[in-house]
Amino acid sequence: MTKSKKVAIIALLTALSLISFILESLLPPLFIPGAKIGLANIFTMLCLIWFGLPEALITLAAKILLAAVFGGFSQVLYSAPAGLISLLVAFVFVRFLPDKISICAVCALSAVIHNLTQLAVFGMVTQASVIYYAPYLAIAGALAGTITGLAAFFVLKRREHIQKLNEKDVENA
Amino acid sequence: MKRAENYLGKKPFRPLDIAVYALISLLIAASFAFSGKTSGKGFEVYVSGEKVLEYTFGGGYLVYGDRVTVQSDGTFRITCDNGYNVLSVNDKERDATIVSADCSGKHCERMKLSSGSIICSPHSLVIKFVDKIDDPLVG
Repeated sequence: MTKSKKVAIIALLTALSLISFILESLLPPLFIPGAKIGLANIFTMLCLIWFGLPEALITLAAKILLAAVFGGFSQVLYSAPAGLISLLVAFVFVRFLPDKISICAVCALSAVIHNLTQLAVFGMVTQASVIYYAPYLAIAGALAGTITGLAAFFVLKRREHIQKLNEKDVENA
Repeated sequence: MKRAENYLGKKPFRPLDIAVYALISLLIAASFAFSGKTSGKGFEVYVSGEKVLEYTFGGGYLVYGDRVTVQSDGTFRITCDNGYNVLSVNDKERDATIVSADCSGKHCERMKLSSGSIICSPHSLVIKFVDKIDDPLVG
């Protein structure tokens, strides 16, 4: 893959990540305060699998910073540590156990850790007692993470299918 | 993009996923063990550090200033410096919930006072119990 193609794809994933984050922030939480599906994580995950940790960190950082422009500084405060830790957890599984653990399970665990980290940071910053929401946010994270993992899985499958079609076209040309 | 090939297959799940979901279940169980409900005789509402409402369950309320208005459905609309929050009170369960807000992210919507407190950072809104009673969920 050429450098320019790689940059274009990373930029596209970052833009999609930001758009889905902003759309989700306009909607109320699912059933528990702060619970969202986390559609933006689909694109961060795809970047991690396709390109690796440095590129995924760039996508995550760009999304968080741009989200702060649209949503306020509090987004950075809560999203940054949670996003970083959950991405690192996902990286460990993608790097060392790619053929043992599915992408759905990786996304589910990553989402649970994201929610619990965000809750912990919120509790520390506001000095509020928020442990009450921990189990419900963990359950919501497991469900949402499985859904985003499934979405990422089908994108990967689709890309493989398109790649095979392109290779056929090149052969037939 | 070689790493992507590891995730392609007919099924989206693998046998070892059970271990990951078992770990998630452990985290959920552990967090249930440490969480618990809180209650109190009443609560106070603060906006930017200034008390705007004092409520006693089953005993009425006191409004300070002009930030709080009582709506026709009995909920309290709290006007903050850069938006609003609507608070619904349940005297029977000694609890209160934010039913709507216009803050970015809407993280405070559906927040219950029985979780410990309600905080809406973008609006500098804090709601906390008066004469708190802790009631652990487990054990």
